[in-house]
Amino acid sequence: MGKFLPLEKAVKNLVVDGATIAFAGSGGRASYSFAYELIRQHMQHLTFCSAGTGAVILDLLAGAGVVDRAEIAFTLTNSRNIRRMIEGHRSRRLAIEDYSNLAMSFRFMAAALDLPFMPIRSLRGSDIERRRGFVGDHKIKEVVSPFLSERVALVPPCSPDVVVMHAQEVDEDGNVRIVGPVGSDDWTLKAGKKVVITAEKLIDSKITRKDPNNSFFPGIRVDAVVIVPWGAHPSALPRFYRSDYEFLNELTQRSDSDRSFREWLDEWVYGIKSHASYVAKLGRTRLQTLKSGTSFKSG
Amino acid sequence: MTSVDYKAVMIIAAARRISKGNEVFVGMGLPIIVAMYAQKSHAPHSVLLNEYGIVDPMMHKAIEVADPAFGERSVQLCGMTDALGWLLRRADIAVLGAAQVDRYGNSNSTVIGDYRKPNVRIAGSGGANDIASLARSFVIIMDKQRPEKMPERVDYLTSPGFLDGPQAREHYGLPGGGPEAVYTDKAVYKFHPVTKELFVQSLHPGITLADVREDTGWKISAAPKLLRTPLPTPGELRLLRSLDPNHVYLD
Repeated sequence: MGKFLPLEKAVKNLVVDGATIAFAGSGGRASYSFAYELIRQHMQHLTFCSAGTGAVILDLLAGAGVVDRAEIAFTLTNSRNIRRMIEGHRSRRLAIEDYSNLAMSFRFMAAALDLPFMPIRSLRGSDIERRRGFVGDHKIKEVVSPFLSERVALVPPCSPDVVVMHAQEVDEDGNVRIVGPVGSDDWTLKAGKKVVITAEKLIDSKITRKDPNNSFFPGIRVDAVVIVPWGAHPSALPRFYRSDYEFLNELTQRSDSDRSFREWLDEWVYGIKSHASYVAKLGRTRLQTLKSGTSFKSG
Repeated sequence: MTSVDYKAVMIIAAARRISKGNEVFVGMGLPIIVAMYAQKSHAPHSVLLNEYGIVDPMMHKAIEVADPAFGERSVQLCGMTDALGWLLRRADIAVLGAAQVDRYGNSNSTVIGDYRKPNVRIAGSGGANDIASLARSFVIIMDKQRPEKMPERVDYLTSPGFLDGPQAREHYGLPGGGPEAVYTDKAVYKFHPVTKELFVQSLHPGITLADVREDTGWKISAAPKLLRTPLPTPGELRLLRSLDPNHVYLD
């Protein structure tokens, strides 16, 4: 159980200013609890990498001044903090390197398998290939295949210093069990130099061993585990709770100026000591509603 | 003709491209309601696939795409590399949304204006570039056609259509077949087999060619025999609306 840490410690021990970070979590499972703690500890100059996950978390972290670079495939129409930073003639406080979902997945895959690059048949001819940001010349390369003389694009590996994901269940050895869509969560985790799992529920490893096909990620490659009930809120956690759209809509609305976003942060992050206090603030009625609407109910 | 629901005309027209038993790879947004409608009307046993690895979800009601409930009752939840790298390549048709489409069917979902200092940051590729590059064939659906949304050249080329014209996809080694049609709330467009340029194939009820040209950023040509997109029947409209009771995709 040596990997088990409180949230505050997990951030302190594993994340340093300037680190590269990724949040896996395609079917909900986004570790908002970990993101809030990064904000609370005033982490800075992080680079955020993603293959299709964590778009709302990116907007939070960028708006809070934690992340200033992103290697991603998309932001959201609702990413109001980011949009405020980059639209019009404002001085940009977030640098974005645009890839596609498959390209970022392949970059994580290359890092996981310790390959120097991955060939990819998409991207070519597009502005994703042509327009480059801070990754510059190394963003995408083109070669002629030595086998069939066809031209193909190559993308570089992407190995985040820390990858974080919220899981439904983790056992005492850190083995991870999940429910719901997976996207590139597996490759994202495998690409991480360090892996942190925040989990809803601690289970007995007997359950893991009875059903190894349902293990998503092995505990031997998990560096830290934090048990955090409601750790993915306001994202969904299939079988436990549904997305809290009311909360997300309010967050979007309050992200429409630096000042009102700062007030939101004061109310929901800075002014709150721990995730348990956050859950208490959400209130029992709200939690009950979210629980009753969950997808992937067992049985 | 004052009360035509053009969004419904567009969705139902696009859905007609999907046939019984087709594997349909759906992008984010409107493509989902297109594929759902096809499945529940004229294309039974068609199978939805998406980039997060969701295979054949049994959807009876439209929900937000990012919601994991999308994957409920599917037959498999595989990964994104499986979905975009493998499933997509053999799917019969893909359906993509876009914020801008140009003369050669290139689409933009990244920024409006200059990339370095955009007027609007829309979203980005997500899997759209991969789908447009790799799908055997795809169609684009775009609501609220305006000249800015159909410029001669997109502000940012997120997803390749025919790029600069004939042979360009081959030059760049893009394996997919490219776009075959664009559906907007004004008309249905196809691509000229030789020039690869978009032309008007079918006008929606009550829309004239002059209307379409006014809302297109270049002087678009039209088929010698222009067709008329059918007006959805009350039954078709009822079915479509029943699939989206919470107005996720419909107004």
